[in-house]
Amino acid sequence: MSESIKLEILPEACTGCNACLYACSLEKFQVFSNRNVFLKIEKDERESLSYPLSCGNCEGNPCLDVCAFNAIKFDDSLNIPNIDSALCVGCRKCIQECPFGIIHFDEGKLKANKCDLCKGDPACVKVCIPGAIKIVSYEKIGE
Amino acid sequence: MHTKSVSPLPVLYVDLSSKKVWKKEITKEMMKKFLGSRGINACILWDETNAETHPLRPENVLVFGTGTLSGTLAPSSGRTTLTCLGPATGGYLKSSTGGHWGSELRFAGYSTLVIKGRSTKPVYLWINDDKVMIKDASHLWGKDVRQTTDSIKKELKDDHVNVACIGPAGENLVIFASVMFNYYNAAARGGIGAVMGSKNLKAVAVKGTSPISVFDSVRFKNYSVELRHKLAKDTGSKNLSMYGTAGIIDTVNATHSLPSYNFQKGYVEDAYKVGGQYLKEAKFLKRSFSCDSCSTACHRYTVVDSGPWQGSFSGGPEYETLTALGVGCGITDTATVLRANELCNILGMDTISAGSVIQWAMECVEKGILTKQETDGACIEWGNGEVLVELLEKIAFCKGFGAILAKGVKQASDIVGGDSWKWAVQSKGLEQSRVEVRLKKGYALAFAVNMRGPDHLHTECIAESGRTPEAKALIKRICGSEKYANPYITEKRAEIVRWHEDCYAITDSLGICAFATTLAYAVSPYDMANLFSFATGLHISENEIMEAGKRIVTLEKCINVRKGFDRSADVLPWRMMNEPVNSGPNKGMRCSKEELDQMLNEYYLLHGWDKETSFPTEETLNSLDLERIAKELSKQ
Repeated sequence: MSESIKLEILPEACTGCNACLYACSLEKFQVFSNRNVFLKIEKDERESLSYPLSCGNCEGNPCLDVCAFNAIKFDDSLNIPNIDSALCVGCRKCIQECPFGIIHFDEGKLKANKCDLCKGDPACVKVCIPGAIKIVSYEKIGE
Repeated sequence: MHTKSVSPLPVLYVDLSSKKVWKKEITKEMMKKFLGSRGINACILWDETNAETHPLRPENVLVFGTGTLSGTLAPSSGRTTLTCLGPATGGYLKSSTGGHWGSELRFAGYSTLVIKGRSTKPVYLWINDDKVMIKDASHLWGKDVRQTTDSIKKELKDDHVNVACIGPAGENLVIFASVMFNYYNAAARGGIGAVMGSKNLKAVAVKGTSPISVFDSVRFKNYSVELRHKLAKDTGSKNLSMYGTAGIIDTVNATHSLPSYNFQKGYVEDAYKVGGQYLKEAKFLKRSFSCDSCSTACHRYTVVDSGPWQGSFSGGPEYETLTALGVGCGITDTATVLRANELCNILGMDTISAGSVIQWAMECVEKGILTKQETDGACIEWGNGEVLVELLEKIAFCKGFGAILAKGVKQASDIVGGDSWKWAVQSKGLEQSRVEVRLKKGYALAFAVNMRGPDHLHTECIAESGRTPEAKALIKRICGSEKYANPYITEKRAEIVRWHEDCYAITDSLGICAFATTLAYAVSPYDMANLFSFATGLHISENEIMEAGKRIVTLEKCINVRKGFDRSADVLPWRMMNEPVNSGPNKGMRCSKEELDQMLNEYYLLHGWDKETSFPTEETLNSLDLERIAKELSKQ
């Protein structure tokens, strides 16, 4: 039996405040940005709609299949694909394939870079007071 | 470990007459003295205009100042302040807005945008990081806010562009035209949109991709996250989260202090139908949405699903809108008020002033001062929703009787004459916001001295009523005892107003929402001093930041002094001082001239301003490091 967590999105609770983006950019890049971050909020401002998009919530994790170097593996404990930096050659195929556009290219290391759920304690969740981004934990039985 | 402070983002200047664009640095000394946004805007307005500058001439400037903490995790920090000489009063005007536009301008690399001059033909500004373009807007002129915003996003092929624009009201120089940001966030008071229109500037589109650095990111983050959670637990903030500002309609009505029928009544039987709770129950309210970095999310999005106004949709409505366009006009039909709100938002007009002039006209008709012939045959009577909607369009396009109302209630009453000035609920030329100041002495004083005219968005001293534990604690701190948490007494009102004035100036300058600091009271001046210090690396103490607040307020006062405003301008609308409240537990109350005079004397004394003229003394200006202002004023 092992413990597993998952980042759950409740779009109806999202008010589009961008705090999650700021928390993410500060945690990962030590600056504030609403663009170069590991999650995204799609908005229709005319209808005041907002929809957070984060890793682990797309269909089929296409980044896993596209990596010819086997650098991306599914992390069962975090329920997201993870990049093994040692194996990544920086071909950018996963970046092209990510349906949410939230895998970035690290220009310094010349490798793909993505959400790792802050190793299980995501910065974005801590600032989402409306509760649109939540961590749910459960136990996987039989493993 | 950082050793150097973070350089302030520069000011972007655009001269629409010469088509020149340039940048100017803000010194760290200036940042510490004026904090940002509203403070820096006031400095620019002082330098760029003079005693002769007319608000609607090219010599006026329009300054967009982003909050120093905008684009960060600081709680509710997405506010932007627009500053200029305003057409409603002829003097100092600041008008602020929420939304995301200000943060985007900071991501583009600028703290402030200054528009000078006037273009010969309609243009819009496209700020794409360091690329700044003045683009033709002939095809956008005449379009409403929704159409303009849609067209610019389409034209720039980017749905994520942030658009600030004016509607037809701004183009037609309606004295209470607004600037609308990303459809629904409004900088609306005082005619800021008319100033933009006078410059032939239809819109400012912004996209920014540069990250924002803070000096001590770890302490800044920890402090911000802690404050966000504190704010979420605050009593005032919780109420706002549930129903927005519209949630107080029922409570205010129950105490007979809901400004209705142009402040002739304080209670309306069906008022609940324009209240926040009903909007939710009857499913007009579809969702709430946030300004940048705000977890309170008091802003609403409403839709009319059936009936004659089916298909109307917009942001809001706020308490002020529901009173100004609803009960103020004797209207409680929810869908009609939502349609009127939508119209103001797409035509680009302040809902408070638009509702105010229409209420005034309704009272003129009631009292026989205006006839049907003079109002294009319209039946301008209390409760007539069709006429409300029709008049809003006529005002925005300055058609027929609408052209008179488009001048605001002061000028309109000068034109119509008779006793109509008595129910023109304005002072300094600005229509009063929908607060029953006859019942709240602190509010009465704050409204009378407000540099832009009588409203709540300069100094809102909600704490004086002591409705929440946080409010009571604050009054004890300011006045020494909780017993002063009593809005019916004049004692200590000057102290309460002064504290809120300084706090509001800091709040605006940092880009924080006043709902977090002077409604919820969860974010204090001490907290703001810490956030400012951690963000900029320019260490500032609580006392120093309050001193900066005083400096900003005093400079704003000097702008009005230079324009000829003296003590006689610091009054309340005639009705507030002479006609008592006529029902409910507070029946008979008003704010008399004697009471106001007494509070003004104490207020000027506290400020170090001359009691007779209300002018800041040279000594006071020097003590606030405003020697240059003192010298320039003395030359007048």
